[in-house]
Amino acid sequence: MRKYHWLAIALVVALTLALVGCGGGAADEEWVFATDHEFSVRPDGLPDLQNVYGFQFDDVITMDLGVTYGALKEGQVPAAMGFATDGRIKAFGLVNLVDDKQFFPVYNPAPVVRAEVLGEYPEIEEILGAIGPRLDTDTMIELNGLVDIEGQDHKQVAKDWLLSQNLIDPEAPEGTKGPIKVGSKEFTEQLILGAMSVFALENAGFTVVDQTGLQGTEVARSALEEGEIDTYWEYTGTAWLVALGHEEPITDSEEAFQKVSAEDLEKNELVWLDYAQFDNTYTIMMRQADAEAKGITSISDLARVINER
Amino acid sequence: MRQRNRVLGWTVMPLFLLACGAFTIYYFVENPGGAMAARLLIYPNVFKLIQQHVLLVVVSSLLAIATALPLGILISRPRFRTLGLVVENVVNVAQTVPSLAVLALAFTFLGWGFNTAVFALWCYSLLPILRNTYAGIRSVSPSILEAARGMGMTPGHILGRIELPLATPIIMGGIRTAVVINVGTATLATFIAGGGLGDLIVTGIGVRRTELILAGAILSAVLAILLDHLLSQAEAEFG
Repeated sequence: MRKYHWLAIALVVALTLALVGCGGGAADEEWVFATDHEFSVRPDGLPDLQNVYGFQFDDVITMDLGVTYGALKEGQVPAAMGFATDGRIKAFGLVNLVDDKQFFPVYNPAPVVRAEVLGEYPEIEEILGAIGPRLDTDTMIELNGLVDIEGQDHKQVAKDWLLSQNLIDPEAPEGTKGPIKVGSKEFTEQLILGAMSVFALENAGFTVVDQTGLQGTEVARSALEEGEIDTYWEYTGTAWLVALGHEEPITDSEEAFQKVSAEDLEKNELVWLDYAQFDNTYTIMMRQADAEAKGITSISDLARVINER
Repeated sequence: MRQRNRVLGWTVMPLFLLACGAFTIYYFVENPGGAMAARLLIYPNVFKLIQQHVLLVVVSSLLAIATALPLGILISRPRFRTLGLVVENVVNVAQTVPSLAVLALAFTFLGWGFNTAVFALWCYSLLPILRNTYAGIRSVSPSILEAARGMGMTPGHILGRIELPLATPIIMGGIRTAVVINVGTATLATFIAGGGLGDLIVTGIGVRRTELILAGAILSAVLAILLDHLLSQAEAEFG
């Protein structure tokens, strides 16, 4: 009887070791892709990306969004997904691959202002509209990085940048107009953009009520529609898909801006001011050194390299 | 009669649970409820996730048994009595740390992947086994030990023939608790790329697809019941 028991235990251990052995094979594969959970199934995510570009990763590992950057940096995967303007891209020596087939929908942010407020203070269009066109992807990555990586205060980062662009003066005048209620969503980029709006308006002599840091798109958007706030930065793609409820994503920045601003003005009396150059959409990233060594700059290059090996 | 129950316990119940699992897989793969969920709910993928999940649970549990059992025996020895009390209290407090926090801590030190997930699960399942081993051995009546010593048994004999056999139900209880908790906690491994059925659940939450959440949750529940049942069978065998 005893012998039989030991046999049973030995069997369980042997089976486990065999299972571990089977599972360990995955590490040798060359093109493993790190993704977060949503991107692995979304219609604008990985499955269709692979169809459009015509390639297939050897294996896909799912993890929390924040982990993908580190996994890529430490060389545990050769490619990963992330968000195009995340500060870690620059800080970790990563590079965004060019979406040369325009697969990803566009998410350019722009200040959205209630038409009523703009009617009263038409100068706001010029004040806030001046910010967006100066913000390109590299600038935004750098500003996000100053907050997320170097731990600077987002308000200081916003102020310093506005000063460096001569968009504001070092000392704001006494507020005589307004008040204007400025909102933003809760993540770093939004906090920086919100702070920029606050400083720019203060510089032009407005009293500003700071309502930045609202929890998510739904809250910020309904606050704007109901007049709880007067302006915040929204992304064209988000407004198109979420707030206006369309199903088909738009992949051209100008087209997205035209369609969204026209529809929002007509339906909700919201005015979209000039949009930022940068596009905070999904991105496929590689390590910069790795990408240069393999001659990869775009997702098409990546597809070619994977298919040709 | 006892023999017959034993055979039934090893065959009918496990087969029934396996059938439940198979039906769940079949149902959700055939009715994924939309294109998004259908990308994950395909047979090879579901089987891969189940295999990863079982691996996480079995490897971490075996490691936990291999470490906690000897440690529990050690701190129950009379010469380590004070240490035993300290360890017991520390373990009780440590058990109140949320499992997600253990996982997050392990991630900070060890990075992501299967091994980190196993390490975190191992940490978390050490505690019930250690506590129950210690409590089980301590619960053996002093008069029995006195009698054993009176018969001239050595400490080694007393441990092997008196203390451990008498403590087996309590120790097995600890192991069963640890394994069942592990099945649930292993669904969190997906956050640090540990794989497993959590992939389905967390993706389902992210994109609001109930089918994904249900498939992952039902399959891990079935797995928990199956492992618990097998362990109770094993307990009956050894006891």
